[in-house]
Amino acid sequence: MAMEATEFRRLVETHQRMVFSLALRVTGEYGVAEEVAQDAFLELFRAGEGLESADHVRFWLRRVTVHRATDALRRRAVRPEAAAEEWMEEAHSAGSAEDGAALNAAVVARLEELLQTLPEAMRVVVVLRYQEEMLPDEIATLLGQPVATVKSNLQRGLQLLRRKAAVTMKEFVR
Amino acid sequence: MSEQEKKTVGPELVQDVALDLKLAEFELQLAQAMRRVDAPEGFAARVMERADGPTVSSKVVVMRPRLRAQVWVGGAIAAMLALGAFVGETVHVRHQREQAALATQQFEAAVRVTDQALDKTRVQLERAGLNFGD
Repeated sequence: MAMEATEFRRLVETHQRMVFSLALRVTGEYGVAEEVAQDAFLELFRAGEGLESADHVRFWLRRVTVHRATDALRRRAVRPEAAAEEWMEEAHSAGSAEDGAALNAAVVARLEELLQTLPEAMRVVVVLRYQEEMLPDEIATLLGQPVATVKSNLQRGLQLLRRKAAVTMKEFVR
Repeated sequence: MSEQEKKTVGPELVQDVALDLKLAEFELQLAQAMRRVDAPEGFAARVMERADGPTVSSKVVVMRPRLRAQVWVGGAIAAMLALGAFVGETVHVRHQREQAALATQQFEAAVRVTDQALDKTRVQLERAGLNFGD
């Protein structure tokens, strides 16, 4: 059963940043990310009446987006490493200026680029941990994996990222 | 950590603590870098348009040309494999039949040779005056 259009629009507007950011960071390709994000919302539209609370909707959207994004990676044999430059140009052309955070745009872009070089399993947990600020057990529930696997991927992903950052960004990692 | 403290806890632990601190700092910086980004301009409108239109279901049904080609290639490979298996099986069966026919011929030849040898022996025994009957 599909949900009401008004309610659906409200959910799209509420969650579009989360869904699109997840899709973009997992696939590493702007166009694919939009397609994945649209598909996730359309699935929500069709399945919407079964979702009872805001938390349930958020959990459901995260899970479907991650699955669709990894499916897209495999189906299209997208190599995020190759698409990283396009990602950086499009993703940061507008957003980074308004942050005003301590990190400058170049460092943020470089970290995003390094993220795209991680193996898929590590990249997914790193994105869920640091973008969505989810705990390892929450990630494990979302992905249907043992907590130990999630922790291991998280730890290895983080160390790998840091090592790569240490080599390529000496001014950033002290 | 002072030099005195470093001496007390040992160089390995000092190194571990330093590494942990660096990792923690790096995690913080990573979390700052990985903020959500804005969806593309007009994203919500495009989603609503797809939800309203017939493309929701048709998108699933319509196959992309590349996918169609992949299906054809997959089908062709499967057919080739099936044909190969069939030919292989046929050759194998024919080979087995030939082997069986050859074995039968060899057996029959051996029986003939044995019969001839026995006949010859019986004739010799009869000549010697021994008769074993018919």
